[in-house]
Amino acid sequence: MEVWEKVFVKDAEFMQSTHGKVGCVICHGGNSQEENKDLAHVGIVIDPSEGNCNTCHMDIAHVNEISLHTTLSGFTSALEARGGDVSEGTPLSEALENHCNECHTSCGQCHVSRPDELEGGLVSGHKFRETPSMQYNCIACHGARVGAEYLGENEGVPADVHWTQETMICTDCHTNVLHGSTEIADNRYDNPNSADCGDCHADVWTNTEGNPQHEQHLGDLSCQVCHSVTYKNCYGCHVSIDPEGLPCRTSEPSVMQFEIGNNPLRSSERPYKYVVLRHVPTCAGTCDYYGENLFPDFNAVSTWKYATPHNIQLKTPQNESCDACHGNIGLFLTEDDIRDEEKIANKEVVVDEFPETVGK
Amino acid sequence: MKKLVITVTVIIGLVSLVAIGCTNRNLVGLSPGAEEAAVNTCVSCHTNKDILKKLASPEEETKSTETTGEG
Repeated sequence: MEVWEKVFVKDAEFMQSTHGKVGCVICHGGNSQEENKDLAHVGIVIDPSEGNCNTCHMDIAHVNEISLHTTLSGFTSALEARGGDVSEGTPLSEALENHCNECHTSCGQCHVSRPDELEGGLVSGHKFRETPSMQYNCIACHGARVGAEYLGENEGVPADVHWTQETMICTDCHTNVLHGSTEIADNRYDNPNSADCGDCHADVWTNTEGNPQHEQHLGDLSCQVCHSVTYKNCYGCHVSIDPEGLPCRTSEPSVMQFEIGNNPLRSSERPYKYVVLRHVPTCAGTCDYYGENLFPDFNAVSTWKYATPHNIQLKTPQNESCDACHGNIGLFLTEDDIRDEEKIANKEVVVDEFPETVGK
Repeated sequence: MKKLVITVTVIIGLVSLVAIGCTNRNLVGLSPGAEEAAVNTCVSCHTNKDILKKLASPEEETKSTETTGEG
């Protein structure tokens, strides 16, 4: 996006909208009477979300304060779970600030412009979009894995049926979750408002007649175990500061894999014994640039994490027949799939007892 | 007479409340519409593609070229 294009309002019609009538300087500061560009922009606030939106949208702003998009507590909780000290002034807090907090979003970065992480820019003139753009907002940040899966951008892997058959966008499923939970969440699954297949497919749970696979497995397997296909896994992320003083990161090439493992988040909401697991980019040395042994308890948390790949299919290779899965050890995360330095961290999620073939 | 005094007092009170509301900048700064009435250079420039192109300053580089791999 060109620099000028990022701030192009397109037409003055916006000024007749509810937000337009408020006036530019009330939110953005600056001087609307000044003709000199530099003087007009003195004190300008590019993203005025904080302290302005809540004037009228208090109900949403209030819950958004504890949204993961705002708190980014998914990052801090993951680092702390591995023994990391993220308190102020520590090497890890500096790493967090340089490399993780850039993902923070604001009201405007979902409803008006593209996120800062993608260098901003108005999405539809200055129009306030009640529903964010899937392309320019959601996938702008969640594109490497979820977005690519959903749209079928991974070579040889089909797009999600919710996209190909219904053209559903992110907010069709992810509704309340986007503006927070009822309490502060540690990760995306720690939220009673999380998207749930059963929200639309309740009948699957109430009527299993004629579907022996559902009859047999509904409580034991997450939906994705049978209905997702190969997805992206990332390895070996290392963060540092480049010679220009800019934050940078490197990672190994991603790998397309499908791995069923033990459920690391087993609970009443997620009672499944088996789920699909995705390898997250982190490794013991991810933050070595900032200091040695910053994760003294790295093995406390698995690097293969509970996952919900967004490439759902009705028919998949593993649900073609019973024995397409039963006895098919290649589908399961085994110790051989784990890197030596991560074997202890993942010992709880590795499958060591496999379902036997049933001859069907 | 008493009624007249009460009526006048109530009217003065209401006018004062409205006046205070209009000047309370803690809520939204200027009153909506006030800016509209004046010449607004923000709108005239930001709706003009040619002016924006002409006045655009190059952006400061904030992304490292050494970053590799997927995010």
